[in-house]
Amino acid sequence: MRADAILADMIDMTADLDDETLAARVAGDFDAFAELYRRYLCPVYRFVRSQCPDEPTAEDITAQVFFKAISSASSFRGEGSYKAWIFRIAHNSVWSWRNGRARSVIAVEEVPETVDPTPSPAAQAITKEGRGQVWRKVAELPPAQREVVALRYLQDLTVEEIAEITDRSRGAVRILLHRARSKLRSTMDGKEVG
Amino acid sequence: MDSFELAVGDALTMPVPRAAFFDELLVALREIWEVPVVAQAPQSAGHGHWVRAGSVAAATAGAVGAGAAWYGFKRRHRRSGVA
Repeated sequence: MRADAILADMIDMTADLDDETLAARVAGDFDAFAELYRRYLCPVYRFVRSQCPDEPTAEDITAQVFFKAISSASSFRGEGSYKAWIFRIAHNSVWSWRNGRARSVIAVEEVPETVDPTPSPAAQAITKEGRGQVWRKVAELPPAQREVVALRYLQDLTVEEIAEITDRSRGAVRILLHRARSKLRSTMDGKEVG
Repeated sequence: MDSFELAVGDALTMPVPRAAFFDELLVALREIWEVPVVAQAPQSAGHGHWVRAGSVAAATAGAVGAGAAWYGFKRRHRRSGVA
């Protein structure tokens, strides 16, 4: 079955349901999973892409995340949010890849080539070059700091949710965020973004 | 969030997945959901020994090895020259 046929089947039937209701239906209803996939592919991909050096690697890891999500759907008990659950899978997948590759710094020239064609109004105020500069500064952070920055500022997750996803204490997450912010501010201080 | 934090968030929203990747992965996930791929027991299987078996229930019960599913997707992905 083609992707557009799959999506045509599910449209309007699942769009109004919340993540947790959809997750509970995955066992007997692929449309429920397809709707979760539609909601989370982009966020998961962006998070993964911010943690690895290139697009093919990001696609590999993102695919792993969704294979794990569908094959272990029954392990989602609804005790937390589905968003936190799938980002925990993404976190584990990124760290498995990182441990395997022993690669911790994204090469600075690897600014994404595929850029969101419909940036937010705030993003429109910043030139592509300016966004590339910020991207490079984030890419130069140590992996643990880079990860909490992406979860906080890209996904808008709370410190509590980040702690749950990364299996760290809330204090440890706050320290990582504080250090990352300080480092980013010091390197970007006085430089006009855009 | 202050403007600095918004700038960081905006910079990280730059990448978007390729449309072809979105479509191919969705199709692969659908196939896995319908006919899960499971790895044979390690003592009886060499590399490349995979059996198609089970059901959605088996898949969602965790019977499907994500690694096996991933292996199949990668193989198809490479063959189609997209990776």
